[in-house]
Amino acid sequence: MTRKTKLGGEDLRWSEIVFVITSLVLVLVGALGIFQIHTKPIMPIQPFEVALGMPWRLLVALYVFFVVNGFCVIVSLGEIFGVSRLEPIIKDLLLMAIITILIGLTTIGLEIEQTQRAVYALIGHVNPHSVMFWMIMFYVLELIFLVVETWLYLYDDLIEQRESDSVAKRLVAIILTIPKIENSKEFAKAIGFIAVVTSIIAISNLGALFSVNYLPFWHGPFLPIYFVLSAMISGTALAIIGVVVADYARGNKRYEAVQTLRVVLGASLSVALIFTAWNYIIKAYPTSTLLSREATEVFVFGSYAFNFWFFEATIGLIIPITLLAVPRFGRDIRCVFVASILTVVGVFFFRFDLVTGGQVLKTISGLRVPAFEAHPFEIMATIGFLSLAVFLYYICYKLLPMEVEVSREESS
Amino acid sequence: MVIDVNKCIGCGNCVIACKIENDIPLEIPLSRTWVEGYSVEETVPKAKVQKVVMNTDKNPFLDVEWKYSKVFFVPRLCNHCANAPCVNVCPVYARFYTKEGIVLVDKNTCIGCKYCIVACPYGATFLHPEQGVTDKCTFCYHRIKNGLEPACVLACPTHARIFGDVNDENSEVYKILKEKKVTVLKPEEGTFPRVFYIGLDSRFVE
Repeated sequence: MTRKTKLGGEDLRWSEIVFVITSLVLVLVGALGIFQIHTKPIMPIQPFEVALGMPWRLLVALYVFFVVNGFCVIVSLGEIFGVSRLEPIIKDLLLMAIITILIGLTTIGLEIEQTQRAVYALIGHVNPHSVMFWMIMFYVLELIFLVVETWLYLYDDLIEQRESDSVAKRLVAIILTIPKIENSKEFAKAIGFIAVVTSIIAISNLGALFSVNYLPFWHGPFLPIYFVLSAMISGTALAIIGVVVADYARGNKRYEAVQTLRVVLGASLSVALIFTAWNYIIKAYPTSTLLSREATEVFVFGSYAFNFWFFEATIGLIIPITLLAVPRFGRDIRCVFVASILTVVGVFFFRFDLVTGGQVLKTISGLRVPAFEAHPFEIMATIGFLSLAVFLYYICYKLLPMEVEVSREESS
Repeated sequence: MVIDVNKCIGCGNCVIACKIENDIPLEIPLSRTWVEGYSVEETVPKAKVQKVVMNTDKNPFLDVEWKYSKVFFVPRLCNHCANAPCVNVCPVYARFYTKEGIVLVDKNTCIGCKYCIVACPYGATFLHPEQGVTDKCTFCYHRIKNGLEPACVLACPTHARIFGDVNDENSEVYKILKEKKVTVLKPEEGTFPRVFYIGLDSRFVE
């Protein structure tokens, strides 16, 4: 039995109430984790003493997971380059892009030791030689462009939403339509172009941040390109999950759009498979440096071998490619959905392995780091940030005009 | 700074003196300077190496059973590179060169992003467990500005560490660099370290 309750003119089912409460509890758990990380009042468990282990840990991997997503590129395909089959999902993608970058920046903002000083950094005390400075700058710019683009893209729908039954939705619409604007879609297209360029620069900048270092597993000129490719994979897979879940909740079907995403995801995964194989072969080749081979061995035979072979290669690449490429499975939305979930799991482990596994050979104060050990507070914070992203997406979806004109009966 | 590996006996006085002078907790295995003890047996193609690190007030060299007969100690610290990766990567200019060429940390500016820890090829930077900012050797800048020697140099009983101005023709460091064969750690990284070693077999030192 599904009981319904009225909230601001919206039907809120019990399942949604459970979802909201669970999300808030998990966000609270995350907040507690972050608080503990910054204050360490109870038990500074040894591996967490950062310099003893790895300087960049789970939260940095989570940051990379959030911000390296190619939503903007897919939006640009639909909005700028006229791939009309993607138009019904543009709103979803814009929202996902904003939320992932927002939560990503929050993650890294709270991961650094002196969060309050980052504000000073933003007002001028910066080093233009530092890739990290440019990375943050481009992500902040991208976020601003995305917010403006989304506002312009939704403007006409917001005007209509001013007549909504829901008080909350009406209020949001009234506030967001205070500035008057005409031809908003055209402006959105122009800003969208700037946003996609900024997005690609920001993502490749993050790749450069890792590749400029003296660690053999990271170092190389192709890492920025690899990041852009993996952003396409991650963004497409998350987009499929978001669209399918939203359609399931609303009884819509955006089959054609999901099928287009399926092609993009399948192609990107295939390229990534080749890229991954050659990356490892070149780094482990007998003529490579000894350190380069040792760094690769960590993933092929060492402490990260299970993560690499099972999560990254099998779950993240081979099974999704099979599910997406075989027409019998690929035409079925459920299979595409499963393939996307597997891909996202693979991507998460790829980010985690790249960030932490890349530092395995790093010598910290003369100590060799054998393997990564996640601290409970880090795990709590990670769960919190992931829940916050999902919860924020849900709230925005509820309050913004996310409806699309799609036939309820559109089917394969 | 010049370090004569042949003279280092692994007593660890330098580590303890540095920790006390610069307020680094004695018991935590983080230090601005540390001593690596190596025991090596030359085999083909790769030598067998045993490595032990001293970076607290406990000296592990007193208890360790060395596996191989060739034993030597390598004191380590920030190399104060002329092309320092930590200075290049710091997003907020918390790392800088003094006019003497020493690399320092501005602890009031450091945001604790830890990029310098990741970028340093020598593992010479760490996060101060109490201050929440990165920390590293300053050549005891507060001492040398007042005409004193760095604490580690002063504490070394065998005069294995020699500190001075490379450009001063009257300094001991100048004379050593002019007359003796010295080497630096990881010259291939292009960081141009300013800590020079005499008698170092750099094959074994990471």
